[in-house]
Amino acid sequence: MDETALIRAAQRGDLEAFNRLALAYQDMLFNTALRILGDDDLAADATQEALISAFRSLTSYRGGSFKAWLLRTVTNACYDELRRRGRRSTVPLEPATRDDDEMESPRWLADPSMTPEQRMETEELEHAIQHCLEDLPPDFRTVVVLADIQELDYREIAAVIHTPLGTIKSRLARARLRLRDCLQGFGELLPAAFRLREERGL
Amino acid sequence: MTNPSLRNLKRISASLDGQLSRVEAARLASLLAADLGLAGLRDDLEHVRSLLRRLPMRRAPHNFTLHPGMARLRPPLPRLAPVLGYASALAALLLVFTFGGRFFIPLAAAPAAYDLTAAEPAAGEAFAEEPVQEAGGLDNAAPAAPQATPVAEDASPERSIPTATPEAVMALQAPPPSVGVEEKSLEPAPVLSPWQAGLLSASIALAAAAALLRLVNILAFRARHRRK
Repeated sequence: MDETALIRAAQRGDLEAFNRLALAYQDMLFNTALRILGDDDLAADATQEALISAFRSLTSYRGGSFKAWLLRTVTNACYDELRRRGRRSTVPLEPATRDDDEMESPRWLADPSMTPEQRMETEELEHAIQHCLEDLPPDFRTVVVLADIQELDYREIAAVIHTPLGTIKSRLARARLRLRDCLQGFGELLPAAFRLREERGL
Repeated sequence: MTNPSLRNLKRISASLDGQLSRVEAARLASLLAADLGLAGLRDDLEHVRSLLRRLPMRRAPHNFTLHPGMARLRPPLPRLAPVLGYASALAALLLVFTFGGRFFIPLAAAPAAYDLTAAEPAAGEAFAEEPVQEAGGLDNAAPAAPQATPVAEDASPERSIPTATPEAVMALQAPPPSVGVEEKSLEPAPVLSPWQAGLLSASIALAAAAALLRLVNILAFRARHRRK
């Protein structure tokens, strides 16, 4: 069954059809939430909330990119979580052991297909990027996540966050500049292949 | 390192995503050729962009499929929902008229009651003028006469009627106006007039139809989901 047929069935209340869509998009939604929120558990909660909300409001979907429509629900869920978090104490970025020590090489990043060196480099890069993403204002972070991690084009991003194209371009440019500045701050902590121009001696 | 103007920054960023027109792209290319700082910035932003795109896609920690409890499935409203809404409102209105009307009817019906009491003596005279005909009629119904006595006693126990004489039976079987003057002050108003009964029936029928349709809709919805 193709996506359109599944969507129509789900709109008629067919939960099984919706679950097939959820399985197809859950990784993308989870990764988006993870990059915006910077926390596995919160990202999982936001993804689940987004899918529940999507199912309940599926009748409001009137065509167009279903991926963009789902991404809108998950970014909304992330914004809700960020607002809640703004009223609470901050959540640590790194996973912690039972003794509240940060994990040196957390299992949550492990990918069995990588060599230990590759894994370590990826972890360092991910740590640095996630740290820099966290420093961005939420609006900038969302745009850069949608553009450079989910690889949406500008029109799709505008549809997801209901923002004019000019604003998208402006936010994305400034977000990239800030990320560059932040990543330069990591200097030689980044693996050589990932260093920016100055750290590479160019 | 100096930061570029926002305009140039936006141009460079958009160029990385292929969002510049040919004219704008050509203009930017000439700018970059003339300004090494801008060219370096372009390289940096391109590198940042590629780093972000090289981030590994993480797998979801578990499946996020929904079960009916999470989705809190509610049966959709039937197509007749608006009609049912009006039916319920109409039923409520009719009920109000049916029972609320009882407070207004006595006022409206009071003159009629007085008219009836005024007409009572005339009715008595009319009975008096034809005793034989009535009595004969009762004689023809003689087997029923003995049974009439206990009924009459039940109806008005305060009256003692030793025998079921034709006159007594006639008085008891006469229409309520003969009894009305005494009992009107003791008994409450009649239960329901015909038009009230009609309104009540209509309102009950409407409410029952609305409830029945909703119930059928819910049962059909549940049956459909149980099959799945």
